[in-house]
Amino acid sequence: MRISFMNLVKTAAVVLLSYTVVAGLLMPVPRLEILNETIRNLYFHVPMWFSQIVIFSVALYHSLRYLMAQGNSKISLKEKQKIDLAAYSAVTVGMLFGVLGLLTGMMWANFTWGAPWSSDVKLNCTAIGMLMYLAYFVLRASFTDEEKQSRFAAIYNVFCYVLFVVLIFVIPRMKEFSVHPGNGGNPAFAKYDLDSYMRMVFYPAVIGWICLSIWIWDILRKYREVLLFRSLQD
Amino acid sequence: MNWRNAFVLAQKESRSEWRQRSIFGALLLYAVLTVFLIYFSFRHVEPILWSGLLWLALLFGSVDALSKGFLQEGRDRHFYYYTLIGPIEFLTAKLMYNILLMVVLGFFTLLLFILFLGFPVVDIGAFACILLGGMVCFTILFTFMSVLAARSGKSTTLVSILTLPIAIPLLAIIISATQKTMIAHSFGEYSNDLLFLSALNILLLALAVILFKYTWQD
Repeated sequence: MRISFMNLVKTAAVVLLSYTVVAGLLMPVPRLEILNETIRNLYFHVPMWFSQIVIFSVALYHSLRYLMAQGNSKISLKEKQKIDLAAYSAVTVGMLFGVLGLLTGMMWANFTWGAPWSSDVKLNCTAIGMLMYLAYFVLRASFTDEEKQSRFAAIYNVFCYVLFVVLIFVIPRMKEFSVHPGNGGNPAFAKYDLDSYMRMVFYPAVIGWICLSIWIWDILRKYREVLLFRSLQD
Repeated sequence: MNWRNAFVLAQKESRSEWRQRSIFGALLLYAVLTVFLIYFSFRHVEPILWSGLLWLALLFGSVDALSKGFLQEGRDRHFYYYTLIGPIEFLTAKLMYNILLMVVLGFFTLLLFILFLGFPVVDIGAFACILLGGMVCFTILFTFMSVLAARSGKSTTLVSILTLPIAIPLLAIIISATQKTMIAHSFGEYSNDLLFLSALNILLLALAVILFKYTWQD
């Protein structure tokens, strides 16, 4: 078997996520008030957001590539469409992981903070970030010309990513109060109670989920390529 | 980048606006109606609410004022500009004109607010800085997004869909900064907000300038 980057990613996703599910549910965790056993959600909720930002970065990379290639007549139309589909699929997968992150977070919050949705800076900022990326799909849908659709989607994606980073990493740290660790003066996980057992699961879980998101992205991208080029042949 | 070309285009924009005064009049009337609506729904407004309502009035005023510009021009006018000037000059001209329009409109809305709902601000200098910074922020954002929406040839709702998610956090920061000008007397209290607002303005402007050239060809 040829060892390619994607094969490594797939193997890592299978191995690390099987480990995460088994070890995440069976390994010892610190006994803490309020959190109790729900602390195991750390292996599922937090990696969703890591994967989302990684996959949005993939989308940014492909959008930038599209904008570079767009004026270049040496690159074929088919190649450009492939780059655009890569960016589009990455945004779709990013949204999927965002929804999963919100759902796991709401479940966790329901048991620890008493309600699925509290008016926390970080919650509100992520919700707004998701709305920004939803607008990406609306923008795409409103163009009929394919070349213009790809170009303007790429432009908006670059704009959106920069503001998304400001929204997620800068604004929550400016506010005085937040219930999330590492924000609003709360200590981050490193200082918190992430003991050595939890680290042994948490770091593999993060890498595993990121690999899974890349895997899903790869399949979606190829699926959309097949759909597009088959419809062109007919 | 030729500043003279940009300046001439901005001048042309304001002149044509002046010739069709009815459109500008409609914007002013819209501002009057918004403030009146707020006045009749609340009668007496607490200082905390005052800043929020002022910025909401300004936000919806600017959606209306700035989105019409590109949508009215249409495809043929765009081709004409395309033969005359470069993208950066065009953007500069539009921004200059839009900022002027927004400052006039913002000042007018503020006057109406003072007239009907009072003026709870203590630190007028800081308030003026925040007002100006916020308006410039909105102008850059709306101008850029209305270009994207206009090229799709679809309705104005697209402008709102693209801008409002980004406008919400901006609005939250601007409103809380405005509220501070009603109690604080020292500059240190909102220097952070002002710094963030100026950094954001520079970021938005840089993004708009870098990305605008890709919207230029049709």
